[in-house]
Amino acid sequence: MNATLEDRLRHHYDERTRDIPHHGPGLEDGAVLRINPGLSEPRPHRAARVALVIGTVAAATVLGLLVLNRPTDNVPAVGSGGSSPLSSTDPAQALAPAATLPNGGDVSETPVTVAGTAPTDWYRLQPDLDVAWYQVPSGQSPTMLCWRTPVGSECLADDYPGALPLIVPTAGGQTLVVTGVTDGKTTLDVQLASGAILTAPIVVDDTISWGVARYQLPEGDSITSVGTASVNPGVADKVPGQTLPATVGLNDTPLTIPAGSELSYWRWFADLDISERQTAAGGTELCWRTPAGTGCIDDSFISPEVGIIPTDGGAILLARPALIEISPAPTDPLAPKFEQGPPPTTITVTLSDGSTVTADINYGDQFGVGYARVTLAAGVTVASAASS
Amino acid sequence: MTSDTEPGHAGDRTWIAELYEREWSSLVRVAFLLTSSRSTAEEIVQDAFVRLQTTRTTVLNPAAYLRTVVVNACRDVHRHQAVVARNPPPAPEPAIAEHDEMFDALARLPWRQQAALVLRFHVDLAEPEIAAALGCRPTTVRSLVHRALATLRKDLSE
Repeated sequence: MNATLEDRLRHHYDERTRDIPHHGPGLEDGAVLRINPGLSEPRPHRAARVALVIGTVAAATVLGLLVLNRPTDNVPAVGSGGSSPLSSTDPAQALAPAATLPNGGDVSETPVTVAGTAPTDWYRLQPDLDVAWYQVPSGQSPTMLCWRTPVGSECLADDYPGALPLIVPTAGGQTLVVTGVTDGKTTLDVQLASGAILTAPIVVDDTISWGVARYQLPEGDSITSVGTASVNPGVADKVPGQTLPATVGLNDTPLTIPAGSELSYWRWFADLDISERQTAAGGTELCWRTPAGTGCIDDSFISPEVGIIPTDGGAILLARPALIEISPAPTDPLAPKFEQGPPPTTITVTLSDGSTVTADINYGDQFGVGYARVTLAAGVTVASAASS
Repeated sequence: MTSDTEPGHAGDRTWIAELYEREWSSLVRVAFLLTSSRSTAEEIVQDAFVRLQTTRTTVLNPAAYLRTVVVNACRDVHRHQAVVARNPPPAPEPAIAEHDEMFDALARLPWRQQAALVLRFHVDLAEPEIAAALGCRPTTVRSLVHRALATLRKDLSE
């Protein structure tokens, strides 16, 4: 098994610092040393952090490749939500084409991009799916990717980020999803407009390494996203109301994305997805998705400020330690001017009906932000909250 | 909390000795990884302890204070090295002569990304602690680490 980049980094650092002793010069012989546990075995938080960073990498792969697949033994795709209809085709058995394309003279044995203004040399990817590429000789236009099935045809510009995954209708009410990267995986998930997630086997073409997954969608439904269905239920936490539906394409770790990027969610709890995004002004916003809706809050809250996120039947409250100004201010130019205060332990919430409740703050290992929950009666909202 | 006016804190040999015992190795490793010079690293850490012991301020977490001082000192060394690099460079110490693919890839990263990786993957600090040492937000740490890993992955053709 290949070592992950994170493991290679740790090994590299360990090797480079191998000769540095565990104590400084000048200590008396026989002194009892208390070595930083972070530098000696065991490293209690490493496993979780390795998982976190591996998740980061996986998430980056999601963003980069657009198309994800899933291990063969993960069937069917099931998200954490309890409110979503889930179904799947049998991943072990692909649907058969309902009709096939005729063997015309324009079908080529090899996939080629031809110079021209229309597709001429089609490549048979499936019995009911041909693809073809052409480019206008001037070179100024992008390569065009065309498809044809028994029920229709279309050509698309294949410029960045590319036309894949390609979703095409075919005979018998079936839908084909063409993926460019299969990475050895054998099934592919799609999410439908109805919220259902379908899983189907990928049939890989040996010549061009593209994969095709075949789905029978319910009448009137359509595919809204392609990727890997999340099997991550989020951090275990008692959810007072509805949970979020299963979804395709969740990140495996919270990831701050550049300003202007499309939100890229990570499932924190069964009723909360978050997406951190930089803002054009240079800050960071924390965008949330719960059964109660979606929104974004400024991510700069520090104690006593609290981030408030409504959810079904209550609210999720977020808190971070305060930054305390070091006083008197150090004159040392290398010294910090602020330091992190102790983590707040409780949140006091003032409700819209005038009552006050307090909640204990929990700190998980994955996200570095404390959270608490309050349940709310119908019609009552959080008016204000402060951590201490 | 430390204060040189309070018995048992800064100025107290037992207190500073315990901190020295506990943190010296970790700090030297961080400094070494960020400067590639063992002697410079030890000098920076020694200087940081002196600065802490002579400060007239009050801090909640002396170890975090030291770490910030060390990281800032390493940054200064890095800036100095950038100036030196415009002139004929000095011969590398034996310890850094053994360059490998990872060493070279790390050296090409922006300094803050290098520092974030060392604090994350060698010292195993949490994001808020790294943020405190680098003087940035925890979310910025996450971005620094993510971008550094992405660059390394590309450079190392993983």
